[in-house]
Amino acid sequence: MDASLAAAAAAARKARLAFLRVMKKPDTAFAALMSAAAMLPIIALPVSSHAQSLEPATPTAILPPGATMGMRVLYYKESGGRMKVTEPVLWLKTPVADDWELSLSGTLDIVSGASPEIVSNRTGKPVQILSGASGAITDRRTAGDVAIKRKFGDHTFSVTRSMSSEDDYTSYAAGANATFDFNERNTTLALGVGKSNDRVRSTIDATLNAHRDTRDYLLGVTQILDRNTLIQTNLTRSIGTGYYNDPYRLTQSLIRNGAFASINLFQDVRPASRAQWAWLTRFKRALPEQKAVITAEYRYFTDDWGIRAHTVYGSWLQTVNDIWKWEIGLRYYSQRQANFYRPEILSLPGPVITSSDQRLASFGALEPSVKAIVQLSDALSLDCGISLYRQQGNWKIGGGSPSFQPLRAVMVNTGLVYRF
Amino acid sequence: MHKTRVSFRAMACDNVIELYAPTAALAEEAAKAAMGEVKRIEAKYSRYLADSVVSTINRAAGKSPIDIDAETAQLLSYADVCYTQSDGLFDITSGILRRAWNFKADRPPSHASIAPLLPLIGWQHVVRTPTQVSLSLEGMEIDFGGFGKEYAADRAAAVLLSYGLRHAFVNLGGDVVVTGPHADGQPWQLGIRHPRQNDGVIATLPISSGAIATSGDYERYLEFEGQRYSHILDPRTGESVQGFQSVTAFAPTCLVAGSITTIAMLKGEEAGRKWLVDNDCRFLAVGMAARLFSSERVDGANFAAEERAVINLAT
Repeated sequence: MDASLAAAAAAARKARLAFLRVMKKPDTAFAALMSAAAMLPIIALPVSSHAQSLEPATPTAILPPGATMGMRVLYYKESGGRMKVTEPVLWLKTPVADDWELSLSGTLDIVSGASPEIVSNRTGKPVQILSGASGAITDRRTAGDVAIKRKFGDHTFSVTRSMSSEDDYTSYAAGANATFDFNERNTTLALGVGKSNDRVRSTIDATLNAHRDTRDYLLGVTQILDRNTLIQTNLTRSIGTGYYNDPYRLTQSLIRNGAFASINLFQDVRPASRAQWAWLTRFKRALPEQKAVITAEYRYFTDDWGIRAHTVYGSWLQTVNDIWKWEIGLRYYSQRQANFYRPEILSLPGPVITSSDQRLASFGALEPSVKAIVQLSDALSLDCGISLYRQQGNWKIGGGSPSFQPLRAVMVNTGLVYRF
Repeated sequence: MHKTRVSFRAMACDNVIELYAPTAALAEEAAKAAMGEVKRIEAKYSRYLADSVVSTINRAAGKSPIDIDAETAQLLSYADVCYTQSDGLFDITSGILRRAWNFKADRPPSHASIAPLLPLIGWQHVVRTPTQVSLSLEGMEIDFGGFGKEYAADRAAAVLLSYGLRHAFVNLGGDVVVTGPHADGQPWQLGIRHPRQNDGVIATLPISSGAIATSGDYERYLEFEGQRYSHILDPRTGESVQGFQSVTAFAPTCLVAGSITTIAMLKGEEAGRKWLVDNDCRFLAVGMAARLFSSERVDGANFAAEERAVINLAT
């Protein structure tokens, strides 16, 4: 009868647990009746309507507890039949031994859109001409990365390696990061270095085979201000040299000289180096009474191409119940153009360094977003976010590039996370 | 696993015990012991048996205290909690109203026939110590009918668990305790009776552990001038309570599930619903207009949650 004694003991344990669960809310009639019933020689059984596994849970998990894995699909589509990107990502993060953690991810990008691009002023003002079906290409990018993190008490050290490959671009990157917790773990200092060695080729120019090498540095501080508040600030420096031109881009300019007019094509030529600074400050505060978390962010970006950019972001994350959460957010971006950005060239000889790429122009952008997060079970959660992105020249603080063509895009981001 | 099913009569009901056991001998022994426990409780507390504890206490009303054992004292303590938690509606001294109410008659009793009984009703007239009880007024009675069957179902389940049987189903006339799912892990499927159709089922509920009890206005009632007068009687007025057609509750013990259904029925539809929700009960209730309400925590049931309500049972 050993088995039945064990079963009876298990039942009694369950019964005590059932009572304890009820006792959490002693002010209800239900709880009062339950505690009175507990005095009688009867057994409380947890109320359940689900099928139950009969044997003690056997470790069927393929990964250790604490591991997480997931998949995510990003979808980006510009209106007017311009670029469309579908990007599925698979990722995994798992403890591998005491103090060691391994992360892996794999990404596939499917990009389709109208490229190459020509910006022409033949109609009187510079307009980007979509080169249409003949130029519409589909590109696939595959990327993978691996990271190993080691914990040393309050400090962590990690190394990462990643690679990404598409028809005309290959990138190999490596990095090292460290974090240091101190001040009773209320302060975290993060340091990081990374380098990336890239190869640029072109599907329309077989001779192109150029390199671009970048080094990145990160310094960050996260400070917990009180139980519900934290502030984080990160400074990143990136220095690169090599080929930055867009081999698919042409600027077609109609240049008038008295009664004559000539049509001139200019290649996209950018400086052979770029040095950037980015400074991000983030503030997060939990509002326990509202069951909400607010986030506010400001990012300043500058580089030696003349670009200055400001990003402001705010969000409200609301917990509805154990299952549902939603989040709304709004991002505003304002950018001053690179000093070699020219949508049209009106005299000859043209400049040596010039680009008509709108991404280097002066413009502003707004991105409202909504997101829902559903806890499907203890282990599984699903989230889905949609944001609408719109760039406009006159949305820049102080006005943007006059010929800027507004861009609208929608982004959908769906993810599934499984916790072991 | 060996499956056994026994049905038997006790407490004026048809009862069923189903269980899985490693051997046929153990199945039979455990089922027999559980049945024996039900009959023991019936014999001890039935008011129809002259030598039961309840009959002994009632005979001594207004006279002398009666010695009681621990089990009886605990059940009386439980009755006290039912009384306070229901604001006096669940009162085990109200059974005396059956002297006026005859549900086989063609009309409800007159007020004149109820009025003389009301002074004999009142839990406050029951004097208890841990070892003795006395009813202060001559002619008053107590009655364990409000929870005796639920208690017996819990005890039968406790007996089965003492045999280590984790896959057993006890159903004493609709008061159900499940010690665990079927041997294959699947929940038992329990049909909840339609309050207006004798053989109809309003919902089928899966249950793999826990207890379910149902109270309905269809159990004993009379109809007069188009009005249904059920056996749910308000101890303060002696009148039949109009309200829910039935209330089903889920709880870790059948005793508690049954008390919840009784209190909700006594409170009537509107107050009863609020009480069920405010007190964190899991329930499924059929209201006066045949509307179905349930707590959100009734999982797996094939109906919508409260407020989203609402299936019209009349159709």
